[in-house]
Amino acid sequence: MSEWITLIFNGLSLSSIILLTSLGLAITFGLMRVINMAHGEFLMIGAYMTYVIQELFKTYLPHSVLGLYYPCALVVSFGITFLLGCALEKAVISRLYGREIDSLLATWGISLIFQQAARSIFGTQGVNVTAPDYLSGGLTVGACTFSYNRLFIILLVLVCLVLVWLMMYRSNFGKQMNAVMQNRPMAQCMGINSRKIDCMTFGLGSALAGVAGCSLALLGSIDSTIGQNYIVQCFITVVLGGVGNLIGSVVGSGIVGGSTIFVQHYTSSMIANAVVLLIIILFLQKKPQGLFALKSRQLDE
Amino acid sequence: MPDVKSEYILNIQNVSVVFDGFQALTDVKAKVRRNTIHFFIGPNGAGKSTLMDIVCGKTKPTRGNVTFYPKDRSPMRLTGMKEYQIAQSGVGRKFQTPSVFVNLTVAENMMLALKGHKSIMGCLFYKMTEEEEKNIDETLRMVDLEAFKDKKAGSLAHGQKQWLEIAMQLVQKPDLIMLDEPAAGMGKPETFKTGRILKEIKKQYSVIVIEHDMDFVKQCADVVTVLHEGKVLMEGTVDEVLEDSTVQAVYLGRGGEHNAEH
Amino acid sequence: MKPLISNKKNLCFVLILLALGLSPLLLQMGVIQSSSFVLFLGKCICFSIAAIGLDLIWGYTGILSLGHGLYFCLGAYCMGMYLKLQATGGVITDFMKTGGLTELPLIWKPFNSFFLTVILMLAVPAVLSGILGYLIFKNRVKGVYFSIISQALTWTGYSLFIALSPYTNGNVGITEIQSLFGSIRGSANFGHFCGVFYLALVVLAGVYALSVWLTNCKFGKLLIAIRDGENRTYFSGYCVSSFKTAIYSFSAVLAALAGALYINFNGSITPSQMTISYSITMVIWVAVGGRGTILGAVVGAILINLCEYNLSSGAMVDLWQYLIGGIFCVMILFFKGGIIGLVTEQLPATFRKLKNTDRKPVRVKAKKEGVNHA
Repeated sequence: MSEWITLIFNGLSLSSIILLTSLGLAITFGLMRVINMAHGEFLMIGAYMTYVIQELFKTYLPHSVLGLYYPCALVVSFGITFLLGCALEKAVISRLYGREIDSLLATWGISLIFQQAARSIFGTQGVNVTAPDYLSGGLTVGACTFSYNRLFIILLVLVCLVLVWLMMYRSNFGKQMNAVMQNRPMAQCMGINSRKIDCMTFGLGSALAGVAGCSLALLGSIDSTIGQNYIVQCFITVVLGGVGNLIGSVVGSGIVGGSTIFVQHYTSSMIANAVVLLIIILFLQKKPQGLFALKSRQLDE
Repeated sequence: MPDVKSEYILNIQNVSVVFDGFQALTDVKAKVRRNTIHFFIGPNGAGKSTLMDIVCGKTKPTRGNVTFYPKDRSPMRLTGMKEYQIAQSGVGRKFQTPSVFVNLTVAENMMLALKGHKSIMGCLFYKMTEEEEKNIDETLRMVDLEAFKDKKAGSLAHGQKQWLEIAMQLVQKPDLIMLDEPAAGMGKPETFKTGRILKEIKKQYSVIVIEHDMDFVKQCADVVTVLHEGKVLMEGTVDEVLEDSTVQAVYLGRGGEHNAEH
Repeated sequence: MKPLISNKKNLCFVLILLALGLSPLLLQMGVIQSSSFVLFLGKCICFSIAAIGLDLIWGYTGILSLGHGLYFCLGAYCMGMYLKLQATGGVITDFMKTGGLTELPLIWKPFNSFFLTVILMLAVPAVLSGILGYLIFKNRVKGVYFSIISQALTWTGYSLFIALSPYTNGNVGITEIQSLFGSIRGSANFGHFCGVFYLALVVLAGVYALSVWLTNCKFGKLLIAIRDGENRTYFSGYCVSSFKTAIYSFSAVLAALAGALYINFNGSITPSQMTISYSITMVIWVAVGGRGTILGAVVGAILINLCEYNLSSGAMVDLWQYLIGGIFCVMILFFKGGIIGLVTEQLPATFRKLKNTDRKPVRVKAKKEGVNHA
């Protein structure tokens, strides 16, 4: 029994991590149709920011407030990745709208630069973040232990999800964003500054990656390839859920995370990864549009 | 086999289409006579293009059938066939927006459209015969594009692209040609020329046309079917349709008349 | 011979081929000092073959595969298994023993025979890509969706190769092997090296000729048609999905061929060549050289690798990563046609512009003179 509860908890935990990392993609890829291969590098930047903030706190501030570094890092990661995302959109992406494949390749070039920058600054060795006191340890119920940092990530993803949902479907900005993504010329005619909306939307997607990176810092060591490890799963999750659909991404990451942990229970993690991806690829043959496809009269042309 | 020598080439039987709860076509019936120009007109959203999509296999009907009676061959049920099979069996379609292959020359565009050699092996070891070359030249002459034979199709003007696409339909010698707004975006002289080309085509083929320009309809239509909100409103000759009060109310009154007055 | 010379691109390729072909001789004569450089040129030949394959599907047909590393590695592993068995004399290898196997596993057995190896080396990628392509293209998965799926596939393959380490030696890969003709290191084995080198060169020439023929016949025109308007091609009566499957399969075979030759030069193969980043590196070659021209793929593969060879050692290694990222990004943004496009289209266009602006004042001058005469 306790074995199964642990399994479910692990599945939930992995799903939440995948969801957190995919949430940004669900916006940049799902809404804007930009394939941002540098998304993984925004994760990396978020993670490294956490490390930097921790070191700054250690060096300049009294030990008593050290625990505050983590919330602080969340905010800083969000801010920095947001600004970087906006800059990337202005410099590169905005020139490539309508050329999806080219935007994929150009952002890959950017990601090479980011990775090398990380290696130049922090070296090739991974660095580690010590989780603040209140996130270390775990909650023990019966024979099961739920580690606090994983519980925290689940909580974080819920908060992000609610905020993104509110922003997308309840705020004025969200309405403008949806308008621009669905019919750009019409939105422009109605006086919406579509270039600004593009920039903000992309920044937001990147910022969510930054927050996700922040949470990844709690789980293991940080190096320049940390983003690469997640990017494939993220993309396939978004495609599985159905592009342009928030609920799809939630369900998609639940399926990917849950099934990976389940298969992993019987084999190794490498095989679990392979098997799950293979099953999803086969599933996508049956439903190329993903689980929650938006049907419309307009065909792709 | 009955109907092999049928006077009709296409029989649309009770076709209905539902897109996600939206009834695009309801119980549409229409027959297209051999060697005529059959126009489908109607306001935007009447389901004209959807009807064409169904005939050429782009959209699957929710209910109903489309049967095609090619000359000297047994009739075939188009519903359920793949679009490339339908195209191979002799139904050509020109799309609303010109869709030629912009990075190929006019001659190469025509070569790809030619009948036959559509399998992989056929394409690998294909050599154009003299007869086919003559066919291409003649068709290009008909649409006045002979001089542009070696130009990239992307460099042609909008109207020329439309004609090239029509020529690509002609060169494959189909039994039935469907043209979706062949005169869209053309000026008056160009439209008139398109009409002349259409009349030329009619001698050999059966043609279905979707069009908004009433002058153009008057110029070449044999039969007109008016669609409205996914249903057939009426069918008849141009004059009958123009005089009909319901048609005037739903369609001509809303700009159709405007067009007709030019 | 005549059309070969009259076509500038083909002529250019012949020149490249000659330069490559002369390099072992120059090494022998002492003009080129470094033998590792010529060895590296041999690898460049293999990369060019892979790049041609990628160009056929991406540049011509518009299918961007981010997973050709998988096919490259499949070819390389097939050849590697044969060469490994040659080295061990057909008995069980050390890593299999470490992995707990007691005898040679069944999938290794066919690789005792050279004939079967060659067949499998081409058939395995062909069949795998054929099945995948058939499924994916039949369901009209296209554009970036295909790219994402292909990248996931590569990741799957990578995970499997690492997980099945008793059979594949996991992360380490197949090492300590000699080439088809025996050891190629050192001046004593120069003959062996030449054998491998010229074999690769002949394959490259053959692949180039085949690809040029392919792109010039109706099939090639159809590939461009598919890239420009897939639906239009369907409505012209072509079963696009089977064409796509065919060309995807062909390019997978080319990648496998490149991999199989590559392992002869490199002497080892690891799953790192199967990663997504390696697969995208291949795309970079094509993008920089010029997509949509076979020559572009060759030029790009050789040029980028030459740069990498010269820059990625010592202090420049950091700079190189920035450079390649930057070059790639700029190429995609501003020079869609790559180097070839730059030379054949963009530069002449600029010159023409310059010329025109030059001529204008001249014309005015001439007019003035005319007035004076009057």
